[in-house]
Amino acid sequence: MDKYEQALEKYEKLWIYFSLGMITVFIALIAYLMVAHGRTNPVGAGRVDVATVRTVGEFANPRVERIGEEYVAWVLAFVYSYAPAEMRFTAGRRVTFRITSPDVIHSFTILGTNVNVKVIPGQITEVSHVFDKPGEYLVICNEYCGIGHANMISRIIVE
Amino acid sequence: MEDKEQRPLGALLVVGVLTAVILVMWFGVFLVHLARG
Repeated sequence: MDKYEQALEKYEKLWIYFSLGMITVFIALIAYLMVAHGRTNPVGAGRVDVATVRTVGEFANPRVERIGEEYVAWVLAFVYSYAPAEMRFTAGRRVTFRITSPDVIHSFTILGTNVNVKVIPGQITEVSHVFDKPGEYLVICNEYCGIGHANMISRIIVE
Repeated sequence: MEDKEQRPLGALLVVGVLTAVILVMWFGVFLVHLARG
């Protein structure tokens, strides 16, 4: 066999090195994000009984609680609204949202942030965020959930 | 016709443009993610 047929061409070799380099960079950056901003990723934080979630347990009273320097918000997403309908936080404090649904799949999407999680009936979704800038943030549902989907909004006020 | 192999300029251009588009999109989304906290 001709020795030139076995050899990698210059451009092929360059492309292989470049591809492997970029894959390494992508994996490193995603690993960095997971370590440094890990709590932005939603995690399953338990299960609830959809038949009783409105009347029994922590979601019977959707609310915001300040625990030390952080906030915890228990949020119920249902057709076609959120409870609480409005939440207030102080800028710079970590907020942990614990969200569930008693009916169909919704989402909890805070515009202008990385919070964009699916809310599944019977499961608790937990996600954290630090609001650095004061202002008003709109929460919307981006999982089509029925005729009133477009009106399913909530408000977060950061002071 | 000359026997010497020529530089595949067209192929290099296509690969270069596609690579640039993918990298700009990837790093753009990454920076937006960082900017949103």
